[in-house]
Amino acid sequence: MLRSAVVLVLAGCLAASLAPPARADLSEKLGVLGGDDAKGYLSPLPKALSSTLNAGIFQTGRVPETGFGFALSLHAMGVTFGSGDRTFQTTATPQFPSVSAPTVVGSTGSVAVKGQGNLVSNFPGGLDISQFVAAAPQLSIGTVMGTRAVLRYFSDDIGNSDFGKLELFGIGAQHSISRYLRSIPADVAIGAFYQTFKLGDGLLDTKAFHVDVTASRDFGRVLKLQPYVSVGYDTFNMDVAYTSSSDPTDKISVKMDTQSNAHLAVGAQLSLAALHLSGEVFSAANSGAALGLSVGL
Amino acid sequence: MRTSRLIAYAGLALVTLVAAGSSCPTEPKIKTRFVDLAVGQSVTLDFPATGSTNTFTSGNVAVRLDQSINLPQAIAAAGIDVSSLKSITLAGVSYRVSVADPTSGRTVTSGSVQVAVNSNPMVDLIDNFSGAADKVTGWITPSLDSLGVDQINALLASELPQIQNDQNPPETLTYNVSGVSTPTDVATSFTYELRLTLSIVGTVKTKVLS
Repeated sequence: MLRSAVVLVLAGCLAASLAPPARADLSEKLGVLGGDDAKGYLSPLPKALSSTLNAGIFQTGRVPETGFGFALSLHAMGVTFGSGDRTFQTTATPQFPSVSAPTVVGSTGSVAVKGQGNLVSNFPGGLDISQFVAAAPQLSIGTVMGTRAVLRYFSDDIGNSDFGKLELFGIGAQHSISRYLRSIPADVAIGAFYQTFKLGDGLLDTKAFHVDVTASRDFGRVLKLQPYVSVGYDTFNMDVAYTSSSDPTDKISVKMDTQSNAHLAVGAQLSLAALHLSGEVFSAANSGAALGLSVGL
Repeated sequence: MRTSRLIAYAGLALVTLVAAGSSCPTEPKIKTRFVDLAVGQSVTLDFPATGSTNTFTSGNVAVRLDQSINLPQAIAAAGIDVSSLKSITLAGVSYRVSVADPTSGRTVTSGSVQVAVNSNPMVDLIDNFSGAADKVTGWITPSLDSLGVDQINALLASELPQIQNDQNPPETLTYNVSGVSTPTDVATSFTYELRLTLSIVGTVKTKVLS
């Protein structure tokens, strides 16, 4: 059985394409956990996924009034985990006390907990990672009445793994504000983007929504530099469903807490003819950085 | 133009500076990790309680755990190589009425489950449980006696090296379920299920992007 922890780590998206398959299965790790403990084990993921999925979408406030333009790009987004993300407090039960155990990004060692009557239960180790990296291909096309459409899509069947299919879909648009406010000394646009990311047959199901206002200004002629800033808002929902490994009839569904937070970014785009290189740092559910490379008009 | 370039370079420098901050990710690399995976497995033992007297007992029933649960298969399914197996422990015991007694009001009192490994003496695993037996129940988690839990944990610990050496563990687990059934003037006829949940820990090699 081919499994991919990388897919888990990147669950964020198709960074799966950047890493080789590996043997460790999210559903196996979760199978031994009750719903509340699975929630704790996965607790670093919603913030990391929210931050990365909602990053690097819009790199400019410049949206022409009309004309044909497109850009095909690849964006990589990463965030770092704090020390508080590495452990969670397990749920006490009548038979077992609460203990501190590794989250999915925590240390690799399992934690044994002694319970009533000398029962011994174990919590799985984590993947010992300090950062989360995701990537996404993106197509933007426009413009009509100062509006461009933006799409993200990736789908892959992960070998023979239990994960099955990994799918990222995103759709949104950016609309020029400058066309109404011609006196402001920068290009300004408002954008909104909705994404879904699914892993396996319901194992991981996420929905992200991002809205922002981006302001940018062009400098240079042949080699163009375009600094930009954006102020936005993110929401993120994540559901997890798996089967108990000790009782195959026990289907467990976990709804992670909704993430809602401001999203601030500052970055720059360097353009030479049809080639564009962008970089930004952002502060969202987690802070991080994003890089993008695109080709287009 | 010069001013514009200065502003541009200043902007780029600002981005670079902030990007170099401690909270920003560094260049991701693929790294190998050896991760402890914890897997749960369960084995369910049936016990039909029948008879015309108000005291029932299963008698001593001997089972081979390796014949009730295919641990090597379960371990392999989790992606754990048997050579990387670290522990097998008893993580839970529960019971339920799986077939209800047709007599309304059937209850069990002074219930007891005793276990023994190989030729060791019988010790309590569950003592003095009670409950209705006239309807099917969900899994009930009883208070456990550490003597019985220790016996089963010792059995599992002794089976671990045998599984790693691809041998069939010869250990036998004997159990005895007994109790008092009421009403006393109608024959008892229901079935208990006893579930033992095992926690298996082994190390798996994985690669992560970090």
